[in-house]
Amino acid sequence: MKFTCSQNNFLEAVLTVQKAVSARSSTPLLEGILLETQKDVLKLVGTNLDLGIETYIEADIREEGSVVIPSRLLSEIIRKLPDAEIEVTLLGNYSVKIVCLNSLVTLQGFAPDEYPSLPDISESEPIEISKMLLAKMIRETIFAVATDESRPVLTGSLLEVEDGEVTMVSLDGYRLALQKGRIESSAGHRKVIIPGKSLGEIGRIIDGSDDNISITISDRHVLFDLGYTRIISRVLEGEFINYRQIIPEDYRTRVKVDTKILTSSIERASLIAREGKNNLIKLNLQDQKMTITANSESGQVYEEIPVLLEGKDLEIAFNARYFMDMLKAIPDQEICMDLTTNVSPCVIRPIKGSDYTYLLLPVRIFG
Amino acid sequence: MAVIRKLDNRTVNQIAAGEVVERPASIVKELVENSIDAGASAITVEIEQGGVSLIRVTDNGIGMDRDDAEMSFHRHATSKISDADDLDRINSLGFRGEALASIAAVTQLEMITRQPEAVSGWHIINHGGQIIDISETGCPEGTTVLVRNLFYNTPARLKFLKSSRSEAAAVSDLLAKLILANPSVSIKYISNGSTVYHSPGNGRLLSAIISVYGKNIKSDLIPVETHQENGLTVSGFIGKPALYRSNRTHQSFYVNSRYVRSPLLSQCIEEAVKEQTMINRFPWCVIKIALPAAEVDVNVHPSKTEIRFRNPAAVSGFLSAAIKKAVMAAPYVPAVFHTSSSDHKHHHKEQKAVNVNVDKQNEYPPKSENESNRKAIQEEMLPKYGMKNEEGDHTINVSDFMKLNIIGTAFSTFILAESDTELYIIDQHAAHERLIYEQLKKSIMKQEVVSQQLLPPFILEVTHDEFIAVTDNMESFLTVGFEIEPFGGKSFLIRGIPVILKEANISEIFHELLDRTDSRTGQAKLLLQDEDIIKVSCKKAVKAHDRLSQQEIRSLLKDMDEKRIPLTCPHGRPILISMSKYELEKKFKRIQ
Repeated sequence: MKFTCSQNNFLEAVLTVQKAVSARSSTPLLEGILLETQKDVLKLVGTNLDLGIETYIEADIREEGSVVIPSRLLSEIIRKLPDAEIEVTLLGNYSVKIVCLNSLVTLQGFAPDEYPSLPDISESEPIEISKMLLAKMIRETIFAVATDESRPVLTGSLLEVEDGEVTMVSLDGYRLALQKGRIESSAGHRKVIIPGKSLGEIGRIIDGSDDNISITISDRHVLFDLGYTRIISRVLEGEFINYRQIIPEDYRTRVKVDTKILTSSIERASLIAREGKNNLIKLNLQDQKMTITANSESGQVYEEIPVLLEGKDLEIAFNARYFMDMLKAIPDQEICMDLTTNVSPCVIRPIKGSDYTYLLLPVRIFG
Repeated sequence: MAVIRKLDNRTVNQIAAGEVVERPASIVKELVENSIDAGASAITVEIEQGGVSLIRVTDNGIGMDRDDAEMSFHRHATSKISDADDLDRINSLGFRGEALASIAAVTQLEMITRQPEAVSGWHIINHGGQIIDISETGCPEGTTVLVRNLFYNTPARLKFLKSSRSEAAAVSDLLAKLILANPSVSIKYISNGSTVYHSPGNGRLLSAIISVYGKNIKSDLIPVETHQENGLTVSGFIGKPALYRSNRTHQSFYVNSRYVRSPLLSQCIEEAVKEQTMINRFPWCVIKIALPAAEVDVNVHPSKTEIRFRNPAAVSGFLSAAIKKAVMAAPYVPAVFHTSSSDHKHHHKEQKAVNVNVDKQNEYPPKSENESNRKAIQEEMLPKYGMKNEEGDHTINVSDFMKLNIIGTAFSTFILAESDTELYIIDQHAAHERLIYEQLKKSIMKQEVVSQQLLPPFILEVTHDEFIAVTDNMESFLTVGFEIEPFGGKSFLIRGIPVILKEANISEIFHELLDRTDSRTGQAKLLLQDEDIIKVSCKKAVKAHDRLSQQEIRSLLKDMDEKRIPLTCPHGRPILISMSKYELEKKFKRIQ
């Protein structure tokens, strides 16, 4: 195997597929990236068996061949090389010579024969969605994915497509984040639970351009096809929680509040609340204003925000972090909070549009 | 033809003997317990070759008349109880009426006994369960039992005995326990002609401990003493961390003067001193629990080392409070040149065989162990063990740190400070860590209970035992922030979890909590939180190699004074060690 390509392209490709490579694996092979020449392009593959990424870059192929190179080392070396033409040559015994201007590095690689091949997914009835929309959906819901393994389906996000509407939902038992979008697709009802880890990597790979990305769902995998890059993730088996049932329709208290003001108030309150280990903020809704208080051994905070309040007065407490996760993720200027009692869920939506829903469970204070 | 037939008496006895007589130590146990039950104030135990060839137990108890002495060899013949109802009121050590019959069945036994008021005593010879000879004889009051040739008629069992050395060790171990259990009985133990233990029998547990562990142990003991109105009493000693061992062999528990093995009690002690115990170390203790006979069932197993409490929660709660109180009252400062060695071998050599009494076939024990002599023994022993000698006690009064003269720090890690007689070396990190830990713990205790609501609620499937445990402790789970309700079958709905748990695995944490919930006291403890606090305090504390100014050292010592912290860091390592001026002078040969 022998090829040349630009340092820039090569680095970008390596960094892309590296996202699927595990930092530590009992199989050294899985800590590597597969390089494989295909006619006039170079294919790079990284996988941890849950997530697989393959990408193609233009290269001047002199000799056909393939090899697996340790991923971390390869990316660090390529990153440090000057922005110039890189020549990669496979020597005997799977060592690889990398030449760039006056630098020459030889890396010990592995035989490619046992490198796992990515599952074959035939792209039938793909769902077409703009990269921008997908990126937004991921960004605004992924923080609500459960991190503990006690309910495995919750460690992923549900992606559901129906009647030209696509929905992504994450929920971890403390809050739920839901983002809807419209797509031009005639495909029927389809749903899949994508592991949060895979989704995070996908979010990092796709850029915010208007280009489309096609998603194909099979029984056990989901494929994101970005053209030159294909991302294949295992899906989580099981039934996702019926999120529609969870979101209450009614409310007794409705508050409209400016996102920025609320964010900085909660941030200040959180500085004190954090000291108290439980990061608790108390909201008091009364007289067209919201007061936020927090106290710990270190001190107290009192914040007052003018709001539009309809319905009953209410006092309720939240984990400040869960509130902030959402406020940081959404771009909207004003939000609307629907509340019922101080132990029932609070539903937060941007004032404009009803595409985003965040449901937050309060903290109950005894005695 | 009848296949099933009744076994003859001899066979029955040999089978039953298997349960009671396992090895020489079990014979010694039964005989000494009989002596104690007979009201003896002095008992001498002599063994040869680990007790296989000879065991002689002599007491000055009430003795028996001819009929009783004969009757005592019958199975289930006992003077200690008369009907099943008496089982609830057992105050004697024995009661099953099996011991003597079983021992006699597998040995060649002689008994010489005289009641105090009788003119003469009786000498009974019993071989393999058959009384061979009964004769009237002159002898001291009390009872002497000689057991020879153990398992002479059951060679198969003889083979299973260990070397005479290890059999003797088992007897020593047993007698140590009996001495500790009966401080008011003077017990003398002679093995192959040399005296191993000789307790004064002055009724003081400390004397008994010293006669087993040697006098040096004294400075490492913390007395435990608490009474409760309903007749429950805990007394005894718990060792300072210097005595902690890598196993539980040195935990002795006595319930109503009976040695018992009890995981419940061990656990209770370990929990109480957890914060000053290093990993894989177990506290040393001699703890006596006295409670009304009806509150405890000793008739669980023939060996009677297993017992059941009627109300385990009360006992363990009480014990643990008593231990905590005792430990808090006696802060521990390990000494650098600590001379304490508590192993008894060392002690053996110290004590010369005072009263060598080698057995000769028909020689009756000399009249040395009776009342008049006993006092003399006590008096002779007391000063010898230095009971009133307070030297070597390195406890510091907790509120005295400020009075220490700060010399400086060594290696930017250890604070050196002196009093008139002691040099203290304080680990700045450990001390600060403990202070922060105590403070955090206090502030968390004060915090209101808050519970993060869950949606959907977490459904927890549990086993039947767990279901009962959870149902019984619903309230207590709520006090830490778990909102639980039954959800049909053996499952629960968890609607809220303690906020501090963050995103940890709910079922794992809940099960852990369940395991740690004291089924006895029903007190759910969020120990997870504890580990968290330790971590935080460790991070917050000044580190080794952080240079502290005089002012910082002063304020650290001042805090140590004011907060009265336990003198170990939350991981169980000591905060300070001491070196006495005397020891230093000795090291430099200023004094010899």
